[in-house]
Amino acid sequence: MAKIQTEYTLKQEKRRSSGKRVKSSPWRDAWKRLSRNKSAMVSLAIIIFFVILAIFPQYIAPEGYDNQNYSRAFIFPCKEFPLGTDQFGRDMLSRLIWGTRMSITVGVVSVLASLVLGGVIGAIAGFYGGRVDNILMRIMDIILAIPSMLLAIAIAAALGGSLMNLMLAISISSIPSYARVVRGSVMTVKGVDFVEATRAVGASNSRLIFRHMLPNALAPIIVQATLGIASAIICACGLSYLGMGIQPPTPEWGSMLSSARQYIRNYPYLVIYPGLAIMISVAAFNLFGDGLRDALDPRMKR
Amino acid sequence: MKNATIKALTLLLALALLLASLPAAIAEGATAIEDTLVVGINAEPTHLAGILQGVDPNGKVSANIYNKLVTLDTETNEIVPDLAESWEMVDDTTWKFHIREGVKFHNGETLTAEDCLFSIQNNSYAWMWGAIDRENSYCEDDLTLVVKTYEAYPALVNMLSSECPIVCKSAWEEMGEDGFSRNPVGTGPYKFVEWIAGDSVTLERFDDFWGEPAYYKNLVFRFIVDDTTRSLSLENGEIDIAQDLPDSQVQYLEMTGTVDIISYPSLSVDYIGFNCQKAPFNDARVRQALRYALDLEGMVNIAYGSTATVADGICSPTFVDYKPAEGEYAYTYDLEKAKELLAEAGYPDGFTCQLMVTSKQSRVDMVEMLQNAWSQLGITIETYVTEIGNYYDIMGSGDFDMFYGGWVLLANEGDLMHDTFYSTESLWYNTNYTAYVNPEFDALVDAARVEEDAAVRADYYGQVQDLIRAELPFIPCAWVNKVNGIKSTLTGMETDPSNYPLLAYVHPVAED
Repeated sequence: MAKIQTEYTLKQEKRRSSGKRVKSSPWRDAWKRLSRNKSAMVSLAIIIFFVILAIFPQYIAPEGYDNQNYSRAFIFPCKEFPLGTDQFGRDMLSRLIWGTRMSITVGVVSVLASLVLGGVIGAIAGFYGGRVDNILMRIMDIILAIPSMLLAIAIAAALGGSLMNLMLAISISSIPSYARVVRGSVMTVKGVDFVEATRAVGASNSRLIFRHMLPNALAPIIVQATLGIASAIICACGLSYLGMGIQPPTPEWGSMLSSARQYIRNYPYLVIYPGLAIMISVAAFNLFGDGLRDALDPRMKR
Repeated sequence: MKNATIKALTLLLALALLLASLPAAIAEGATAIEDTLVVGINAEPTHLAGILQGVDPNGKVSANIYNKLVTLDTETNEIVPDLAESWEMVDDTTWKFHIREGVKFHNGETLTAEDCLFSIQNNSYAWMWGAIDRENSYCEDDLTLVVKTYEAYPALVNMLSSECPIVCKSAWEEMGEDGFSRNPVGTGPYKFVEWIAGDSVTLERFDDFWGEPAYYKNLVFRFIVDDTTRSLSLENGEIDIAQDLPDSQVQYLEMTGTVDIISYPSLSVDYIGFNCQKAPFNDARVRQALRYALDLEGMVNIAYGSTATVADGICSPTFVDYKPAEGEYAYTYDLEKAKELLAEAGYPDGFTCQLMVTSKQSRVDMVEMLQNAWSQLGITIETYVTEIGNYYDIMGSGDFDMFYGGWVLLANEGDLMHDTFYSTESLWYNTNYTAYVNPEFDALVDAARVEEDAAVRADYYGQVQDLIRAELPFIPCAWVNKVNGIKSTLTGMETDPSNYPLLAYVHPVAED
């Protein structure tokens, strides 16, 4: 790795010294570093695969997610049903594919929601500092003091189970971690020259924050968000497992696990495949997030 | 210097933790001795007051703490003496009970007729007391209780054999309702010792018990909510008896060979209830259409397996006055007819409504299949799975469309239907959960209540069952069996369909 790194840098040097115009931006560099990270690239492929499943289940899945047929209940994986059928005679493969849509939607939407809310709070706290910072961040600390899963369970239980409430519960409970990251990043760029320069030109505070500071503080936020999707998926599955998430018959990996757990000893495949799906997707997002962190970390450039 | 302090502190903490866990380990070892029977039940009781209405697990525990005036003999299906040695009907509306002499309560006090009267007067089971004049009942002397009824009431003794345990009046008054609920005092074979919230209730053999003493010294009820965990614990020998096993576990446990499954028909029925005050369910044609759209055989087989049979009416064949469904009342799957009826009622394209259910697996499974089956009629069902407390809150408020729940014909007594399903508005959503109104039904149960001739009563109740089949204020789905697992080395568990099993006489199988 280190060797490749030096070779790469050498090449860059050579290009620069040869006087050719090299299109180079921090993002392009990061992508190049990322594409050298095998595990991150495999993860990215898996993520893209899951996203495709999530967008087009109606074309990919062999049948609908609630095609019950009592006469074909509990068929072990075979040619016709590659992942078997469940207690109502529904094709497990189809349900897993439709379930991808739920898990990915919950993961992405709840992370985006908490990113926007947490981002605004963090940016304001980091930019203004002083009393505003103190008040906002103490509120975040209070939320952070409650274990996020517990908070999500409480919110989901209070609101009742539905897709919307599930996403709401997960995003509210993860706002503080985004607020912290954004605040930190904003504070690091706060004193940098270009900010001072923009201020001197007379830019308004909001323009300063959103046009100049946030874009320059984006790297750690992206990393945090990617890792956040993984934990949001886990959290959603956990809530659905407890019966507080998506209601039947809509398939969701967590609720599939939950309804199959009573058959774990007689028909283990009912539990294994949803479990694998959760594991693989979460691992993919985590590895990709790690890869991104390595790629975006400015210290790696040197 | 600082480092050393921290190290010392850490070490101290670790040591403290180790020491703290020691007594627990010792205690665990202690409970494993031979004279303890451990029973796994599926939920924690809400109280053990006995005479206060409550949820299922309460009865499972308190059946071993209390006696009733009379009880049902499992083998002959006849009412036999319990705390009342004998009883007689003085006139149409007056009954005299002679209380057993010298019976001791767990706190050492002697049972009197006063305790029995107190227990009857403070009993809060809503459906039991419609015909009994509790105000004017009285104690003739220390051991004679006179119970008055408003009119002739042949079902009285049957009713008293069910949810009417006798509590200690003085203990109740001393501790108050809440205190007594956590520290029950009865006359039964076991006395209450300890209740560890979220874990277990421990009972101990009562040495001054008036009847045959219990076999095991300690009786422990452990709350193991998850079905799989409960059946695994039984298989591992952590518990000796597991109550309420689902079909998936039964299949597996039967193969192990170390566990016996005790399964027997009960008086419980699982049914789909409608809010009959609310459109579209106020139209009988809609309810019938929903029934015609169901392949109940297939559904019940999948959701309950061996633990239930398909129901053809609200009363199970265990009921003495059961009448089987015949002719038009024996519904079959007929989608065309369902569509026809629904169109006739004005809903050719279906409708959207909510179906509420508790998180019991077999019921959730049923609901998932119902949702699918009714979608063929264009009906969209939003399911709402909730825990039992919230479920009853919502039922009580009347703010629901449909629910999937259970009902037990306690005491094997048809008169129970009188105060449960009567049309009076005060019973709506309280015991008459479907708020069903039908004067014809009222007339039938009124007539049955005062009828002395058993054959005529049976005829009335037969008509009641057919009436419900015709009108379907609820769709009976499954007659549920009681399914318990017990270690093969043990025997002697009572199997009475109308009561919770008494565990006092469970004992090892004699070796020979």
